[in-house]
Amino acid sequence: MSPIFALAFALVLSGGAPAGDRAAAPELPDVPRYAIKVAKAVTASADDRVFDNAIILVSNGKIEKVGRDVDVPIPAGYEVVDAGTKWALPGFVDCHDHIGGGLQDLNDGVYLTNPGLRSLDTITPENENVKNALAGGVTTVLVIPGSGNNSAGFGTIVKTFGHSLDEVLVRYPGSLKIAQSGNPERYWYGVGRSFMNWNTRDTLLRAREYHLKWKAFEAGKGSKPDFNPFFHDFRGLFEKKFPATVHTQIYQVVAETIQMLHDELGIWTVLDHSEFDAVQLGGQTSKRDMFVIVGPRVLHYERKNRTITGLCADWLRYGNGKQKIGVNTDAPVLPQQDLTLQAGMAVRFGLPKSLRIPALTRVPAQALGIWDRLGSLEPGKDADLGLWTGDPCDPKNACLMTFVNGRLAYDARTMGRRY
Amino acid sequence: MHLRAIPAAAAFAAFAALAAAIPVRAAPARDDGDDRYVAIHCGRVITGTGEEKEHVTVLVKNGKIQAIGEKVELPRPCKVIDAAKFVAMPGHVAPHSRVSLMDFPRAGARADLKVADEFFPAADAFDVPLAAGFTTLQLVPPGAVGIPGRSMIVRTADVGAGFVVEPVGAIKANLLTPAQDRRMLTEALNGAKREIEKAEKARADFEAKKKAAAEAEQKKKEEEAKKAPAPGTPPGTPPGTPPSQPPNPPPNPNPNPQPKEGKPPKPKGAKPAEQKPPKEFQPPPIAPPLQPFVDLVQKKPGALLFVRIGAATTYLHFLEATKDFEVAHVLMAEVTPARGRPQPFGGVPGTDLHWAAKKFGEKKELVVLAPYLSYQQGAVDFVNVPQRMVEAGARVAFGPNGDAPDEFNFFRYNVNEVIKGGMTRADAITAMTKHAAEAIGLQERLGTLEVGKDANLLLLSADPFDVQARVEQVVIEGELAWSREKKGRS
Amino acid sequence: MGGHLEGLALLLALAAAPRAPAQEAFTDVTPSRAPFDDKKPDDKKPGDEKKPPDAKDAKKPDEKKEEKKKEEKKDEWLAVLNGDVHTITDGVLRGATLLSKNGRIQAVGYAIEVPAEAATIDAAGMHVYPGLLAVNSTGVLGGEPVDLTTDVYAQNMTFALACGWTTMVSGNSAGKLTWGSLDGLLLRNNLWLRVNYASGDERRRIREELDTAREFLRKRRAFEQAKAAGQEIPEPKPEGVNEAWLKLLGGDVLARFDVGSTEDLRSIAKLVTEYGFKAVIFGATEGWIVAEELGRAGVSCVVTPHTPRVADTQRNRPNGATIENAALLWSHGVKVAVIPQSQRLSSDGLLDRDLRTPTVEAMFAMRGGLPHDAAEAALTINAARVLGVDDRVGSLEPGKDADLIILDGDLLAYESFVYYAVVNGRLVYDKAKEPLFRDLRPRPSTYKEPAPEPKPEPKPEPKKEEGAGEKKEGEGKHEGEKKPGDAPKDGEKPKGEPKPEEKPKPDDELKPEEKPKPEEKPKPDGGHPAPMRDRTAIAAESIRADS
Repeated sequence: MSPIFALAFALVLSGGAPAGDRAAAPELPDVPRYAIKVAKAVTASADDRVFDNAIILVSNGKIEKVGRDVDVPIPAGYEVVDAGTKWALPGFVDCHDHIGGGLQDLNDGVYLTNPGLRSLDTITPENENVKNALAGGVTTVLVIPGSGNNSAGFGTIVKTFGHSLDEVLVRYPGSLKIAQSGNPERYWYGVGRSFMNWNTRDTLLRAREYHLKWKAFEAGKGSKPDFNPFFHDFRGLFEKKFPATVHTQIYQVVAETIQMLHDELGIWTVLDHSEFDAVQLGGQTSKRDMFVIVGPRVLHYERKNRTITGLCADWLRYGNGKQKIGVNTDAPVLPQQDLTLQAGMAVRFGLPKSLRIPALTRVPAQALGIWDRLGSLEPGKDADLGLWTGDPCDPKNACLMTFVNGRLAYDARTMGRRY
Repeated sequence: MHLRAIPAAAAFAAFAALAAAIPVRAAPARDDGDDRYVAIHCGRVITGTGEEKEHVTVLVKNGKIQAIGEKVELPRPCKVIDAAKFVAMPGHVAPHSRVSLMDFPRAGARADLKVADEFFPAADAFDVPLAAGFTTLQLVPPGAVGIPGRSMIVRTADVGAGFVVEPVGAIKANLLTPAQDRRMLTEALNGAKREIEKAEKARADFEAKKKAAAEAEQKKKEEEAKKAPAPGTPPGTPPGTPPSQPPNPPPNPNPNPQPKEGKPPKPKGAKPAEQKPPKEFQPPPIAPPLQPFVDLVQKKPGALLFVRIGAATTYLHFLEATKDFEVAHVLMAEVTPARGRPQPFGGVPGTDLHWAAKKFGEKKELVVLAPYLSYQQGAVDFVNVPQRMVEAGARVAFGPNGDAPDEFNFFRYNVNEVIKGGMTRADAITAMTKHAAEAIGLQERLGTLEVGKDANLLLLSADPFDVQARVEQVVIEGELAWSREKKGRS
Repeated sequence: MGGHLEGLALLLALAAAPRAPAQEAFTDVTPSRAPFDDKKPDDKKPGDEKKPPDAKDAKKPDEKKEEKKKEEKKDEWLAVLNGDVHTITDGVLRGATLLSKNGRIQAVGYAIEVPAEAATIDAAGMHVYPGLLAVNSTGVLGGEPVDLTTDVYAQNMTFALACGWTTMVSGNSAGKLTWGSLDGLLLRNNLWLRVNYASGDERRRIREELDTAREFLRKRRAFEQAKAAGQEIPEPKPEGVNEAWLKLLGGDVLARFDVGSTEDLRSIAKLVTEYGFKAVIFGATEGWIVAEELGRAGVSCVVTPHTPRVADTQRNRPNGATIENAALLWSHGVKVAVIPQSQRLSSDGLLDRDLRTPTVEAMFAMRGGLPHDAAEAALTINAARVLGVDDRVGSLEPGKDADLIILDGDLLAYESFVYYAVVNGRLVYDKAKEPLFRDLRPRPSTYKEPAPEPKPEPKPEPKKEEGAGEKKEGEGKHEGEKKPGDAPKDGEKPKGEPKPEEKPKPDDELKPEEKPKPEEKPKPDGGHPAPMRDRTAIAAESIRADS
């Protein structure tokens, strides 16, 4: 990784392209081309297209074509994968993952906010947890630091299969991790919400100041500001190149997130967790077209009425049916491969069934701004897909084959059944 | 006039006179043969039977109510208590109290022990409940496990006849932990049943023995008559020898054989051939801890079982424990007041009694409850357990939730909160009066203001459920036991 | 004084009298209608209950009633109509009727006469399964003895029923979730003989003791045979024989092992095969590796399927957990039961493989290859076998206890919910009436209490029942709809009908009784003037109004 770091450092010093950003254009080895025959292809496209008896053509790491078998002739040189009874689904996206680094660097809480840290350097592509993720059909995860303090760094979006950082990297920074409340209170001697909010605002405002100074400088006005590695990666945040994924839950805290981060600071905000009675803010979030990612809890016990409700269903209800909802596992709190179970349980407790696949694909991908690249079986997108024995949210069904970037990442028959 | 100048005796006389003037300590001339009359003119009387009367006079004769009416002719001499501005209601009854007693643990089934044995009150021991309007307390034996003993009933002021109303009252049984307590209760009842059977068997045996003895005696006589040699035959003659001459029959020394008085038949050493006719039947002695249960099972008047149960499940255990018996009983169930944060937030647990209310109602149980709203189990909503019990058909009696002064002082306030929460005023008053007296087994004597009952009145400056109502006077058996003016407490 | 001493002596004698242990006082195998059976000679004799279910002469009111108690020994009937009945042991009967009498299943099938006084549940379009059994649990039943420590009004019990459980285990006792009643709570004590077959010394000792026990049994058999043949040989004495092993070898108790490693499992399989006793293995993580031996040993295994492949890659032999464990065991003839990883029942939102989702656990077994029927059995009849109570529960067959759940879909579909739960023939959970899941895919409750007495029209029916005023245990948490005490008292009044055994009800008294207070019906805890609301709720509402 040293050459890459040196490159990044060089980029920083040159004051050129936004430093620290890593858009991935990985140099992948030659991959075979596949023609995958399936009983059903659930594309998870924006219009939720589903093809029965479909063929998916995969080449150069991308999806070349998807359609009914009568509409997709198999060109020569394509290895045919006959999964004739299986369903093909896009590889799923999890916005809240802590296992990318093999659990070693979960939380670095030196300061109450030390967001200048980055998870990029902790990624260990081939750890055991990630291997199980493949068997659960999860191909893209946002690896973020923990919530031991208000902000422990920038997250990294990676694929769950690859032998090096280059192969797995999708984007750095994936997001800015902010933990609004609900864990950082234990920082040192304990802090309250007012202080945490102030501190977070303070950090972000200063970062914005810094960004605006650089922006002015780049536009030709103003002198060159001092380089500050602590704030430099924030520039992408204020240029809306990546979101802040915010660990936030409970009514008051989520209200703070909406008001402070989204409204006041104008940050592209993704709610991560969104549990307990925060569901009552569904109206606010849907009005602002915010992304709500729910998990790892699926249920909420409403003590006043003694009812148990599904969190996803409630967000939708309070959002008048218009709220965009995704699910996460907060791996390792729940194992990464159980992402589909989260969606299944959301359906069990009231989420309309038609929203379960978007909750695993489109919504988290859009929340992270990578929808143009992956998250559905559409031509031109990354060839990340899983071959399932049926509805992936049904615990009875298993993912028996997974492709990542067009390469066979997991095959239960030949590599052993993992899940 | 300087104090020094007054002779000591005169001072003492003055002091004695002053002391005698305090009504509380007055000793009415009850036992001097004259009837003692007291008339209480009340602005309003809440009798507890459902009737409320305005501007009536309560005429008390020797501690008992003789008449209640608008125009009552007062005999002479008659003490008059002017309560025309006050509202009268029956004095409160607390069915589960340990005022004036120490707290200490006691385990096991000890229905032979009595509260009376630990009762040595100071003169002002009951002033707190008295000033709050309580006229009668049932003092219960200590501890929250097992069967700790027999209660006693006291009045809160000595108006001449002492504190004690009933020295040995209901058997107290706890059933808060079925794992320990239920078996004890069943065994006590079964033990009582065995004792009764044993006594009956002994009686039957006695009767049988008596009968057998009488028959044997009869037979013996017949045989002797048969075998007896002819009168006049010389002794030593073998039986069967024909008589030589008809003799005079020997005089019968015992023409009317009667069983002798005295000792029970002794089982051992009895010679089978000659059994003494047994004396009068003496039942075998009963173990003292079981005697009260024997009375209970045999439904002796006054035998009562006061059971403290906890959550709804304990009531089911009570039913199981007593299913083979029909015993007079009163239940006291655990009402957790809705004070403070409810349980899901780490506070007060909720109740489940309302889910079992129907079962209480089916049996028309008499259940003592503390007058509070509770939280529902697992939720933050309130539930009015007393109201639900009444609606289900049970009979509810209100009793303070412990002996803390606030429990006594805020008793009416708490009942009012229950009324605000949905219980009807009439039901609440019944719970404070009629049913409360039933709960201690003295419904003949206490609870309501009716002719023939004790004149225990609480005189308030306003309606009992008015927050500003103060206790003005407390009358116990016709005597003014406490007065706000004199005592200076509010 | 003398009397006092005698009393004391008596007291001491009482104290010294051998106390029956808890198990004996509340018997191990309690018939579900126990409280009424052994009481008075005037009550129904046991023979009465075995009459075939014929509605016409189903109930004769007990004429020799001397007690005025309201719990007259009437038959309690419950019928589940029109549902798809999954018997587990005998296939699926679509659109069938299940009839229960006094807590036992009377009949399952078609064209079954349902008595007029039966409570009914219309399960049209729904699926009827046996109630599920949890082979271990905490937080629902109390500690042992479960019949004295369990809070039968607890919310946790309602929650457990809502998740599909009807029988759970606490320690070494199995108890039923009889919400609101103590009748039939205890199912069985002394479920297992726990055997620790771990270290070398333990194994040697156990084998030696088993040998001794077996030897004794042989000798005793020989003695009995000789005696039958008329010979005289000395009776063998059980000296130095561990009673527990005698029971085990005699088939009176199940052995329970809690092991997971290959080596342990293989040794146990060997032990069981050699000595021929019934055993249950909890855990069996690596059971799939020795599935063949376990199958031959005839053991049952309790597994937790929801595990991915976890193996020590450094070892050169197969090892570790796999999701295919249950399927592989099953394929070799092992009876498989499942239990989630955590045996708590929590309403914390994390679905962390606990008792809230038993069917999900079984679905994961299917993910690993276990067939559908075996997965159903894993929660029902095989779990009952593990507890040794399969003579009473675990499947829907006539003669077994009426413990069942009714779902709106297949048991092993992830969207299915429990709508009704019945234990010992009484409805103990009605989803429409409990707040817990009431708002999730609501359906109106189809539970009907027994119909009140029909009006005295010219019908050939000779007997009238006091149906209306009687409480029915099966109502679950209905409250206050009928005043229970009224019927017997008022029965005598106006009509001068001479039949002494009847207690006819005057017509004009039927209607006010029948009609429940309208506001009490819908909610079990509603229908009352709104209680005081705390300020948080009001504040929350006003905030909500803004959104």
